[in-house]
Amino acid sequence: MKIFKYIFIVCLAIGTGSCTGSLEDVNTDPSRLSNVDLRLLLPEVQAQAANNLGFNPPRVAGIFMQQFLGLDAQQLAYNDYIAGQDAMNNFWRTGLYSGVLKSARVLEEQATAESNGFYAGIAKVIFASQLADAASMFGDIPNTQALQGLEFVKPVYDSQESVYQAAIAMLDEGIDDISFFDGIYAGGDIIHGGSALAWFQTAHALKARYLMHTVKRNPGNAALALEAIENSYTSNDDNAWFPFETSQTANNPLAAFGQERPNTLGFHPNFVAMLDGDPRASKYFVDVEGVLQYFDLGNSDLVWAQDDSAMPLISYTEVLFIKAEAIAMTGGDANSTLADAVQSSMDLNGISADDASAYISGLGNASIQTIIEEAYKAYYGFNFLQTWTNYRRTGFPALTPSPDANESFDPSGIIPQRFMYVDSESQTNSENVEAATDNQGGALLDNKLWAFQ
Amino acid sequence: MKKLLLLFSMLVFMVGTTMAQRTVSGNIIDADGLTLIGANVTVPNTTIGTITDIDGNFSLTVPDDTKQLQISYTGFETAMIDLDSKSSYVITMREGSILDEIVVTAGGLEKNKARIGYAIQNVDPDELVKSKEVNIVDALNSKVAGVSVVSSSGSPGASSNIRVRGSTSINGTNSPLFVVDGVPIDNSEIGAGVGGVDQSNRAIDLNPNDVESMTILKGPSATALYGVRAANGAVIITTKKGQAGEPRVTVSAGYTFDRANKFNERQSTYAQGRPVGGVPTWRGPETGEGFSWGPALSGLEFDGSEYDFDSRGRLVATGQGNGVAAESYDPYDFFVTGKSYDLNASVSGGTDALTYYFSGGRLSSNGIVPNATFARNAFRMNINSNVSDKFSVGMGLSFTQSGGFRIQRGSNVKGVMLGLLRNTPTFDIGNGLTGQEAADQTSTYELANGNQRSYRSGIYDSPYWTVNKNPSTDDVNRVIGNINLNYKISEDLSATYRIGIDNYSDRRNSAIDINPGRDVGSVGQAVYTNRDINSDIFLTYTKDLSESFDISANAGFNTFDHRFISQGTNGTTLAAPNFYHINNATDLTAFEGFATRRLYGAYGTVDLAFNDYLFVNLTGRNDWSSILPTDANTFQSYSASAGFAFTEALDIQSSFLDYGKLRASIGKVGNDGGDVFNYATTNYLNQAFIGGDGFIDGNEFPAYGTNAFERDVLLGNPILRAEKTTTWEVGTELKFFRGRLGLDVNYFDSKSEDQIIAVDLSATTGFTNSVENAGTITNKGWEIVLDGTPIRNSNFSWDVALNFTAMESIVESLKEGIDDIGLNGFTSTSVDVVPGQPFSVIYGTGFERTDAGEVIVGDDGWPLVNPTRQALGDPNPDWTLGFNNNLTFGDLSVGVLFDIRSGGDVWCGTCGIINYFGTSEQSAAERDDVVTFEGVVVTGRDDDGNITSTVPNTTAVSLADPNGGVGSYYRVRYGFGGITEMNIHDASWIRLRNVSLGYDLPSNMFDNSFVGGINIQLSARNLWLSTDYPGVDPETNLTGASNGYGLDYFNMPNTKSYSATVKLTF
Repeated sequence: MKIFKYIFIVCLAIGTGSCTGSLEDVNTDPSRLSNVDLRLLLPEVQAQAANNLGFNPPRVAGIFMQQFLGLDAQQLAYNDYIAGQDAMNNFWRTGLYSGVLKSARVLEEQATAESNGFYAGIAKVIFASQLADAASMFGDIPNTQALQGLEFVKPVYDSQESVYQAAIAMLDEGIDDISFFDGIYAGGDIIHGGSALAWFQTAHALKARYLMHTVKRNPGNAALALEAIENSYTSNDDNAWFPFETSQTANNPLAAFGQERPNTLGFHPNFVAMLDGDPRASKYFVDVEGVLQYFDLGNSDLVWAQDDSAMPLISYTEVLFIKAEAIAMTGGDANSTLADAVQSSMDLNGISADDASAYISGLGNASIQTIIEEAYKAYYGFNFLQTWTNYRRTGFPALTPSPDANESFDPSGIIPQRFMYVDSESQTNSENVEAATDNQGGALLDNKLWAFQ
Repeated sequence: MKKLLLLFSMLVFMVGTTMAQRTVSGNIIDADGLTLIGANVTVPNTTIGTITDIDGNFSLTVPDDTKQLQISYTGFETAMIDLDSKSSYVITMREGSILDEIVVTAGGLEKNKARIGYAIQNVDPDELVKSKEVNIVDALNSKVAGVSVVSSSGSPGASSNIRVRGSTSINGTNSPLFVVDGVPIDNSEIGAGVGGVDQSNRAIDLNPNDVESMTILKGPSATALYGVRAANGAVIITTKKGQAGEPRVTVSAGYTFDRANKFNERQSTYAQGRPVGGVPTWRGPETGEGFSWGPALSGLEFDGSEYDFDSRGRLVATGQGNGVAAESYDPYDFFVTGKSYDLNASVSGGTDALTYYFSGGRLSSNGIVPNATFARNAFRMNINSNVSDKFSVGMGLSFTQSGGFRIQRGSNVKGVMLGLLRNTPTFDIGNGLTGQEAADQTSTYELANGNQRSYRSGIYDSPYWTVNKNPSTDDVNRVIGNINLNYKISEDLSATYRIGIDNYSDRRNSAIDINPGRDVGSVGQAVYTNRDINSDIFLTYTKDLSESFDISANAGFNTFDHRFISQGTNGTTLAAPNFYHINNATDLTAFEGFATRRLYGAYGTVDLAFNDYLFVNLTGRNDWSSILPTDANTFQSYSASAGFAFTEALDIQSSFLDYGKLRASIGKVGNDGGDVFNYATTNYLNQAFIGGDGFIDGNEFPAYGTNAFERDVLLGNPILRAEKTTTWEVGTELKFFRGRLGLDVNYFDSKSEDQIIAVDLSATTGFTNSVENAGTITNKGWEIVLDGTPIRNSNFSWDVALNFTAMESIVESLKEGIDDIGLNGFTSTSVDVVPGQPFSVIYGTGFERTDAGEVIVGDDGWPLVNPTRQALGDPNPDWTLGFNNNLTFGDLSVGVLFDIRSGGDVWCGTCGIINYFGTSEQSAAERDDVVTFEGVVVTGRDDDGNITSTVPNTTAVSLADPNGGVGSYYRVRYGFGGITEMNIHDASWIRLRNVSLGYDLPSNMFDNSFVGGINIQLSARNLWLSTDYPGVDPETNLTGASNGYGLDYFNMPNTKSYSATVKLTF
């Protein structure tokens, strides 16, 4: 535009810098980037995945599972299953789909384009595990049409069954990618520090977990899970630990919740009763002025509620519990595996060998019920979602639902079987939400999901 | 400079000089010889004056050297009478135009309002000053048809939301453009949200005392010349200039007292606690529990034990303690009387070649909350010079320093109202003291062991803790300057160059102190710098082409350059208490963000006038915006308007109807969407942040020893195009009874299309929003202004002005398939836009209903909740009316401004929460009630689940049955604060917005003194309010000057105030 030249001259004449540079330059944000290396994409994927294990869904699962007790505000309402469409909205939007799944997909696409199997493989492993967890919480969810921007503005909801299949397939792909990687690690792996072997083990552990999610529908999965476990962890040192820090901007989400929403979430008295005589009790809760607290600022006994409490994406402890259950299901003797599993839980909690062995000696026969009940106690603090899934699969431990179960959200008054679909989906993708609701025969909290029926 | 010194020394010499006086008298008549009663007789540039009596006579004592008298009377030309040695005069007034109102229109051009074909309204600057509002936006309240003002709260310096003809933009600003002396200035509010503190909107930096005139441009016809940023109307302010003549000095001092004007009702009969084993049981502060569903106070007494939280001990059942009965405390005694003073001084004057105006003002407010302050120091200088016959130069410069100590409020466990209203009746937050005295005593809010003293043991901060230990300050330094050069090329043609700069920095410091056992503390410091440069160059052509036809035209080019930078550091985990500096933090995160935008605009306008009865105005403008894609960054705006004075054209004046004009206009204004859409044509990778849990602050990178980036969840749009708003309006302007009654009626209809919106996407696409052109919003309404002088005689006159507004903003459509876009609020209750609904609805959870609208009740007798959120309330009023009266009795004048608002909902989130906790009056009143909810029980459904039969509900329920536990209570069982529908209330009101009483001391008092006049003004703001709204004053908004309004969640109370001002003229 010639006219701008003249204007520019006028501007110069009066000595202001306001008219230099093109309009395009003006519209370029100096504070952000247009592309970055894989090593700068990976850390957020891992951090989001780990945080998701301590966010609202696991906390509410903890309340449903009567490990936590809501004391006030929304948490109190969750006690009676008042968890409507607004409850998981934030998580669904920026924790899950436009959170970890989005970032893992971006990482995967860039890594694939750069033929870097290590980053592509990790991206797939994390994507698959978060997707499968989402299926365990919500049932039918978008996958095949998800995360493609305006290509599919209203992604269809795929059946829970197909999502689990896709997750397992993706774990297999990720295992392949990692196995055949022969390049040089370029950084950004907070969890395993660039170890392809560790990721190979983690992927197998996760595969075993999600095979067991659908074992009720596919009994053969128990054997497949045992196979996967062969390539998995051999000690808690192998765990996919995500290290949180004492800094308030890098701390463990359960500890953050305790500080930022004080006294709204406590520890459940039923769980206290169950932990009677269990050496882990003092690591899980404390009685403050007659109120059972899972968090107590400055109390370093509480293993899972420190700012820097690490969180595993999956752990050796869980692998052993899965193994014990799979052995028991396939007719084997799971007693020693169960003892190993409980021992490894004791190790995670820093229990002395004497106390641990005293407790283990009191374990009953390794029935499915015993295994799941022990897992219930062992998973506390880092694995609430799997505790809830175990319960829905097996019915253990036996829990009595709240007598004030809200009739609007949980008409039959049972322990919630799922989360409701979220508000933002009803507003932006309502046809598919309705179709999924119909497909599952409803989507209220008492609606049983396909995998767990 | 020498000249200035001379002027000041003259001023000094004047002090102490005495002046001789003389008396002038006269009789004032019209052309027919009839006497004129109540005509104004004044000495120009002084406050000396009088009005004629019932015989048209006047008598006035004037300084000896007085050369002229000015006589004015509505409907007659103002006359200037040269005084000679005579002491008595007969003055014949010529009938004149009753239409001499000058308005300032786009481009800073002054026009006679009679010649304009669109709606435009002036605000009397005296009315702005008289309102005693700190914020010039508040001063506009109820004074202009089509303009709505909602203050966010009564906190010192709190922002106010202003809309001209409703809202048109979903994501962008809806504030009109503020233009001072031809230069647009920034009126943004940084940091409006549901929590934090009340911030200011930046128009607060203007000193109302500097305003010479204020004109509101309402539609796109009027604003096509300002282009995109005036798409929401414009507030055109001209500041005072000097006039040739001796220096004129004014000094004024005002003092104001404020009190909170309205609160929620609280209960005082039940103690802290909840049912334990079916029995309401006292649960003290040490339990950290929040409920006030405990036993009745009448059955409790103190036990006299050693107890941190009450010197008289714990509460036990009557008979088990020491006989000292339990009592309830009123936490509202936390509030104090706010006190403000306002000092202003100005000097103006000049010669034919140079005029000057200097002013300085200091305002200092202490709020109704202890420690809350706001202060503003504002200085202005306007210099205008006629360098030669052809060349004139003007310069304006203002410097403002403003800021204060802000108080935590809203949805925030540190919030003052949250802490007060949830506080249980049995806990004395003042610990025996109240107000400022309690705030100044550490033992009020801190126990001996350093822990916090509050009713939940530090879970919610004691308000006294908050005002001491959670400081938040802002310090704004702002310079607004403009230079005008005008060159008369020929008799008909002149060229103008104008450059203006608006430059400010806003430095903020805030901290949350260590709260032992609860909070490790945090501190933040931020600096926001804003720089706007605006330059205009234009030619103006004016020519009387023939006796019956004249033309004026202008054409010009505008550049606007905006740069906003935010920088700061946040730190957490404080090392030491009471130390609010970034050095005290253990972990730091820093940020720097930008908003840059540039606009170029070429514009032109033509005004044609035929025979003084037909006026046509045409405008056109082309803009280039940096926000739009580079290859398609241009768009057009244009307008046409016509005014037809039919009384003049058809010569049908009568004694009844003096003047009548019809007007019509149509215009289209383009818009680039505004600053929120900077950098939105492409996708970026942001420094990573971990989101997804609304309860806690997510982790931020750098962290875990590394940096990280992630793709933005906002999908950019490379094919973005300008939005457009088309408006047509028709109106009429009528004057009756020689101008004593005026009626201005206007109807407007506007349609905004192709809105640039950050449309909500299903997050499963990988993006939560995409920037798109989508959506249509219509605004239509009536603006009626009626003004008149029902009574006027020699010693009394009564002027009234009514401003009536009724309008409707409708969201006609959003993007296909998008049912809702959230503007502001919470996950559970928010303010949203929904297709087919008014612009903004209160959105949330309601009761389950049958198709016939009956509430569905469960088998247990409790109404069921519809799990899907829906539109439940409309925060827009049906109509508003400002009714202003000015009564003059000789030297005494009384102003009375009523403000009536009919309709419009406000969500009282506060009410829901205090019902939940059991501290509200309602929660006590209904505690023993057994209720059968109105509604139906479903008795049959078909296979698809549709209801086929129902019976009326007959099951009675106890609203608070201790046997069921607190979770079973009516106010608790629907979740935290109940569902949205339970808390929506009509916020209609009638209020006495302003009463003022002004008195000019008789001028003969100043005979033989250097004082020219003294005016005393007493006024009261918000003296009386009538409303059914149960919370604080419903003129409130949680989210400040943002686009969402209608939410009240522990908002700070509004105030009523009383003030006195003395103004001296020399």
